[in-house]
Amino acid sequence: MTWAGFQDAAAQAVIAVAFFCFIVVFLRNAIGLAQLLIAGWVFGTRIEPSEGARELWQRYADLAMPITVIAPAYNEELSIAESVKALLALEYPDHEVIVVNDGSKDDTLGELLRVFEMEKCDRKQIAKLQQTEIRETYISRRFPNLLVVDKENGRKADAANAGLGFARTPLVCVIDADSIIEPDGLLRAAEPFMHDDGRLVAVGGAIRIVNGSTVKGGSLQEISVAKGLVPRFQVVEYLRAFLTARVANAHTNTLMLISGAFGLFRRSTLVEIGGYRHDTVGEDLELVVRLHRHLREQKRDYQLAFVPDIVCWTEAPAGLKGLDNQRARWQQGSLETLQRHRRMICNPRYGRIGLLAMPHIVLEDILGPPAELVGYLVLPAAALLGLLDPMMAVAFFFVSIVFGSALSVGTLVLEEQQLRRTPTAKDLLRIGWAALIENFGYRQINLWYRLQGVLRFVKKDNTWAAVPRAGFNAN
Amino acid sequence: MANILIADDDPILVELVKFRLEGAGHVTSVASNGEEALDQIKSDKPDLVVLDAMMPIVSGPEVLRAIKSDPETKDIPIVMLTARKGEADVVTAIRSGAAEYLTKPFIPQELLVRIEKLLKEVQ
Amino acid sequence: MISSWMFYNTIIGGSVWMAGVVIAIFGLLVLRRYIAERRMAANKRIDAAITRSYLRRVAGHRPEGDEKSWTGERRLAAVSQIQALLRGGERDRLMQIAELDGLLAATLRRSHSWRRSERVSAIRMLQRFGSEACVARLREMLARDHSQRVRVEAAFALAAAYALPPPRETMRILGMTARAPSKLDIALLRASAPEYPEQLALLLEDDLSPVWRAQVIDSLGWSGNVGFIGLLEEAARQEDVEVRCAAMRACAKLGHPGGREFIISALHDPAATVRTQAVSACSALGLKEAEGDIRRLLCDPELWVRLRAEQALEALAEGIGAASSTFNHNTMMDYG
Repeated sequence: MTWAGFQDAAAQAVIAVAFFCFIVVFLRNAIGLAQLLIAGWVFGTRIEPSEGARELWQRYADLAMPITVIAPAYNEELSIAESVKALLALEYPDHEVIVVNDGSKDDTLGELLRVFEMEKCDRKQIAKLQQTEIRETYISRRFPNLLVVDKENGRKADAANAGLGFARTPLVCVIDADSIIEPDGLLRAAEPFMHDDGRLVAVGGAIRIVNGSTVKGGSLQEISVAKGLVPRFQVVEYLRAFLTARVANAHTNTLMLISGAFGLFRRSTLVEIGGYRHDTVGEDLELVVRLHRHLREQKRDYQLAFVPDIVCWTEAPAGLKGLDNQRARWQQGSLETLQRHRRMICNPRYGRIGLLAMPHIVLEDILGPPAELVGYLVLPAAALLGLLDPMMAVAFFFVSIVFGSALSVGTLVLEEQQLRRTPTAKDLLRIGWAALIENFGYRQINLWYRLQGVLRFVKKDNTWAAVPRAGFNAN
Repeated sequence: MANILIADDDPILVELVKFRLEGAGHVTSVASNGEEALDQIKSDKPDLVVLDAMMPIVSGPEVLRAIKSDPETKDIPIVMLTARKGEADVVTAIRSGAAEYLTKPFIPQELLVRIEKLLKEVQ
Repeated sequence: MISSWMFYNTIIGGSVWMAGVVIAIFGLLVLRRYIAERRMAANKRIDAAITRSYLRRVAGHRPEGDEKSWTGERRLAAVSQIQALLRGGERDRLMQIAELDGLLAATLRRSHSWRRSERVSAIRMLQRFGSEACVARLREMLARDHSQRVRVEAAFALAAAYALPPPRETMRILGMTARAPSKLDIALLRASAPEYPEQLALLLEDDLSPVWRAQVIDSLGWSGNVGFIGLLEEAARQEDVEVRCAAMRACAKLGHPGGREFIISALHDPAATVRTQAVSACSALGLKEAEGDIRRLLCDPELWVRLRAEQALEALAEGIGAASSTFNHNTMMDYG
């Protein structure tokens, strides 16, 4: 090949890459806009939940389906008693709490046994879904609806499965030990089951970031917005994920993720598919994808719902350190799930899940991050070399940054118009500011972390680095 | 005539209880969260406290426990108000020292009658 | 080249335009919030004054305060909060006074709104007023509203006011039998049982699907009419498992030991779910004589039956006081 020929081929390749990046970023943002519009429509026409838990209590107390709350705990000695008290105090007519001590190295178990006056019991496990050994089960002399399961150390998925095996109620709610559930969160999340004629198998709910708020006794005392920028960026991200993406997905019957921090499931369906998988770092995504796969393969008529009301608060990484790990893990989990269920992608047998939802995950998680990062480099370079219309490079930046900001602020508009859970006008402005500047730097750093996740996936890295979290009292 | 503290974060409920009690000739003061309630109980030593179970900062049951564990305030009768219907809550409240327990919605006349009965018992 | 230039230009322009519009809206919302914050203290004072004024009027005193500055919306919100705290005669008087103030008229107007969510909030308010005019409007909405969700909400409001139409009408209007029963459908049927026991029984003569037949039998248990024991006994012999289960539940709910014999014989039913329900019924009714049969169920092949039998034996040993709590345990179980 001649030099000129080589140059020409290289130019062609650069142009192709540039166009590819442009199209991917354009598509992602177009879908984001569609989701925002759908979410706006859903919020505009939705029937507001009855005023507060009080009314729900009065209306539905004898009809609410009993729920088992499954809380896996690992080394939570300091906070476990308060968390469990808060779980026991949740407003719901009929709920049991199963705390699974996942072989903690500290005195989590001892703390539970002392505070709740627990004694050994031989509660039968209905389904054995965990891979580790159960050591003992305990019931409380003071709270008839508390069960503690002590088991060997495994992963969160294993602990959740163990708890699931002990549950006897029609519904189970799987949470993280440090999730702070809204006092009426169970009632809100269970509401779709009231209208259900038997098809509903799972409900997700909106999750917010607790950083900066005052937490006392395992429950939220005062909502506030964190001072640091990183938590504030994440507030915006969570709003985008829960108030637009999930709401729109649920509306179009393509809900693919119910967060591990809070998910309400029909117990029998979860047991039927064997609970969570132990060999992935993204067990919550994998579970819902597998749920779709199983129910579609069985040709069952089913439904997943999402309540946009806040059901749960969770602690987010306070700085970039910790965030890097979390994002890499999410990315790795997503790739693992896509690999495992690759035959669903674009497969008409799985209906809109196969044709729309799975390709959308591919676009978001496989193509999206590298395309955007590469685009930032290649498009300006190509424009400078005269290979491309400079307008295209400019348009690329406008789509990814200006348009991206518009989508984020649009989500804030939805939040303020509908839920209004930001405490003050000042906090609102601070989140608004974060929504604007997250597109300059934070977003790109995130893409970088996600590429690290791709690397881990390729290397089949299965270690779970702990995410450092700021304690509730630290700030 | 007695000195009664109303501890509740809901201004409408406070107004409701205040109206009744003042109508019956009692003197009332108001605390809008558990912390304020504890401070006022310690400094003013009211004759009786109407306590809401769900309050910000320090919850009703916690206030109750604090009052009962302090020898100076442990004889002050407490009337708890709550939205809960569960029997367990009634038992917990009475066990931790509440003299009376009323669930919302309530009949204001009933609240007054119970308060006056308690005040008579103390005297 | 021109067309692609146009394309990129549109993208750039569109992005800027959209960002501008969205940020402007957001700015307005922040401003709205800021103004609301500034006014919060004043509004709290007004709410307290409105509350005081209504309480005085309810007690027969002269109203006080500057009523002119109180908007209908604020009054309605205050009344709605006060009534949630009150019970008995004072609550009724409060709602009458609110009606005299014309607050009901505003709610009635709202119940004609084109927005579904507005109509539903109007329904919830009408339910609180609970007067004749409200019930009439709720009935009209139940019968004529084109949204199924609104009709269901109207039915619930009517149930709360003890003013549901006969069950056959409710079932027809909500198109119940064409679908599987939801929890709300069951609640409505149960709610109509005390008022229309005979009508429910008559429904059983219809050509109902077994699931719905089971629901109707289940609601008979909430009628408080012990005369239905015979009917339940008949249901306990029917072929459909759901129907037999419902008969057990209804018998337990009626709380009358008249069904003792067929409940005990249902402990040997071939269907596991019926056995479980029979065990629950035995423990709810405190049937000591069933203890032997229940003990044998401890070796039942079905796990749920064994678990239930275990709980029932505990409850029976504890005595009558446990009857109500065991019924709770019963609902705790997932027979799936």
